[in-house]
Amino acid sequence: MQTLTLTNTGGLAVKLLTDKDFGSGLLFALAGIMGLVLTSSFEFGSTAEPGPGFFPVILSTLLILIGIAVGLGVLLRDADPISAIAIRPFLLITCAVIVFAVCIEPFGLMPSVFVTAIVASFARANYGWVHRILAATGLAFFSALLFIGALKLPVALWSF
Amino acid sequence: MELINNLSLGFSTVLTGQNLLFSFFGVLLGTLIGVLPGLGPLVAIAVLLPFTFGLDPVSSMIMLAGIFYGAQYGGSTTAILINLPGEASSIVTTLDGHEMAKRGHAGKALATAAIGSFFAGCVATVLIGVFAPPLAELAFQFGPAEYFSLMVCGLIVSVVLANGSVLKAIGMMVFGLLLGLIGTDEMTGLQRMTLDIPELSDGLSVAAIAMGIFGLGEIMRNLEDTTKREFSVSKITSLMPTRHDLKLIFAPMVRGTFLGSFLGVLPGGGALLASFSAYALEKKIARDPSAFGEGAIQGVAAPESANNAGAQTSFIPMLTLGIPSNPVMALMISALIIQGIEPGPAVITDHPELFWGIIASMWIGNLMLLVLNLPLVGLWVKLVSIPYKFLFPIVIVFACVGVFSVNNTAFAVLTMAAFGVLGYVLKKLECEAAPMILGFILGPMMEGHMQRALLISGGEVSVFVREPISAGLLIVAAIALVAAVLPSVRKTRTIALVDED
Repeated sequence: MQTLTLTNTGGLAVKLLTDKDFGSGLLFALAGIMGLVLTSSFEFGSTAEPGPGFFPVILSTLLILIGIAVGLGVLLRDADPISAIAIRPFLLITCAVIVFAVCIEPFGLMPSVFVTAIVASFARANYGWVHRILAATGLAFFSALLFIGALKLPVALWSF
Repeated sequence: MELINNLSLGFSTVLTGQNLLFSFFGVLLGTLIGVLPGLGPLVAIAVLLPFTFGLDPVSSMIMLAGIFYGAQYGGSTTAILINLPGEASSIVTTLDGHEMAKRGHAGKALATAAIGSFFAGCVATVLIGVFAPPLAELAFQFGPAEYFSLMVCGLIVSVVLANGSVLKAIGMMVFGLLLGLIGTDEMTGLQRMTLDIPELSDGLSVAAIAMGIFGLGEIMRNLEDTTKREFSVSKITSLMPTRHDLKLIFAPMVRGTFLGSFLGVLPGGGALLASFSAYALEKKIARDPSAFGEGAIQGVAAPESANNAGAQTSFIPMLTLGIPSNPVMALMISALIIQGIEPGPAVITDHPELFWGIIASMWIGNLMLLVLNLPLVGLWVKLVSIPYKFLFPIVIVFACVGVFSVNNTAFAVLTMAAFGVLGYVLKKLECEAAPMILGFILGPMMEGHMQRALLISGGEVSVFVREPISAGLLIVAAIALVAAVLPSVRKTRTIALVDED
C-alpha cells in the first residue's frame, strides 16, 4: 500500500502546509473567496430590501474571517500535522464513481456497475483477477435483479 | 382523551395488510443495512426513494421510517457479537456489549439491547404523540423571524455538539450555508454560483453531498487500514436476562430513553450523540465505574435505549416544523414533497392519518424488530462475515445507483465524487461534517425567512430580538455557544465525545 507520509521536519512552510488547522483555515478562506467572487456582482440591497447578494456576501465574508482566525491559530502553538494519506483508495474510489457517472446514461446499468466495481476493486491491494471479475459480474447481475427487477428504477438495463 | 383517539386512528391506519407489509419490509431492510458496515439508512432510503413514487404517502413514510430505526437495531447486533459496529450509533455498544459476549453472555447482551430498544421505542412513540401536536400549534404562530432564529439556534446547537474546535465547527456551518445557496435564487430567479452549469440550477443534491462525505469518505478511510480484520463470532447462549439483570437495566434504560429522546430532537445530534452521552452518563453516576468496559450490562442498556429513542424523536422537528435535523430527515422531506405533502405544522391537521400512522407504525415496527431480531441473529452474523473487499464495491455501487435515481442525472453522481474527495480532506483536517450538512440543508430556508422578516419589519434588524419567541431562541443559542467555549464545559464535552475508547 502506497501512503504519503508527511513528516514535520522542515521549517515554518512545512509546518504550515501540513498542519490540520492551517489547512482548515485555508479551505474556509478559499471557499469564502470563491463565494465572494461568484456573488459580489449581485445586488446587495439593504436590510430593508435585501438583494440576492445580501446573504451570500455576508456568509462569504464571515467564512474568510473564520478561515483567517483558524489558520493563524497555528502560529500560537505546536504544529498538529495531518495523518498519512492513503493515495490509492482515495484516487481509485473517486475514479470508480466518476466512471459510473460517465457510463450510466450511455451504457445502462449492468455495464456501468461492472466497470465501476472493477475500478473500485483496485482500491485495495492483492485483490486478484479471479475475485475481481467474479465480484464485478455478480454485482452487475445482482444490481439488475434488485434495481430493475424488484425496485423498477427507471434505468436502462444496458444500451449501446 | 385526545391522544388515545389519535393513536387509535394511527393504529387503524397501520393495521392494514399493505401497511403492515411495508413496515415489515422497512424494518427488515433497516436491520440488514444496519448490520452491514458502511451501508447506512441514507443509502437505503436514497435507493428506495424513486420506488416510493408509486406508493401512497402513508405506506412510503412507514417503510422509510422503518429503515431508519431498524438500522439502529441491526448495528447493535454486530457490535455485540463481533465487535464491529454496523452503525456509528452503536460504537459505544461494542465497549461493554462485546465484552459481555466474550464472557459468554452474548445472548443476554443481545436481549438487553433488544429490550432496551423496544422500551425506548415505546416511550418515544408516546412522547412524540404528546409533544408533537402542541409544538405544531406553537409553530403555527411562527413568522419568518421566529423560523430564522429557530434555524440559528439549531445550527449553533449542532456546532456545540460537534467534536473538536468550536471555531472550526462554525466555519463548517457557514461553509454549508453558502453551499446551500448554490442554484436559483427563490426571490429573483437569478442563478447564483452555478458556474453556468444547468444541472446546478436546482442546487446541489443533499443525497449526493451526504453520501459523498459520509459514505465514500468512510470507505477511503477504512481502506487506509490494511491490517486484516479477524472476526471471532461469539456463541449465543441463553437469551433471557434474569430478574436480577432486569432490575439492573431498568434505571439505565429509563435514563437512556429520556436523554436520547431529548438529544434526538436537537439538530445534528440524533442517535449517535444520544448513545455516547447515555453511556457517559451511566459511567458517571455508576457506583462502580470501573465495571464499565468490562462487560457492564448497564453499558449496553443505556446507549441502546438512547440511540433508538433519538432516532425516533428526530422525526419531531421534521413533522411539526418541516425542518430536517439530519440528512436522513432531509430525504424524508423530499419523499413527502414528492407525494404532494408540504412538511410543516399543517401535516397534523391536514393529514392526521399520515402523522398518527407514522407514529403508530413506530410502535408496531419496534415490536416486529423485537420478535424478528433475536431469532434471526444467526443470519445477520453470516452476512457480516462477507469480507470487506466484497462489501466496499457493493456500497459504492449502491451509493451511485441511489444518488443517480434520486436526482435522475449523472451530474449528481459526479457531485458525490467531488464530495467524497472533500469528505476525505475534511477527515484529514479534523473538520466535522455534521454542521456543514445541516447548514447546507437549512441555508436556502434561512435566507428566505431572513429576507421576509427584514422586508416585513422595514429593514429593522432588531425584529429578531423584539419578537419574544425569536429572542428566546437566540438567547438559547447564545447560552449554548458561550457554554461550549467555557473551559469547564469544554472539558466535559471532550470527555463525553471522545473519551470512550
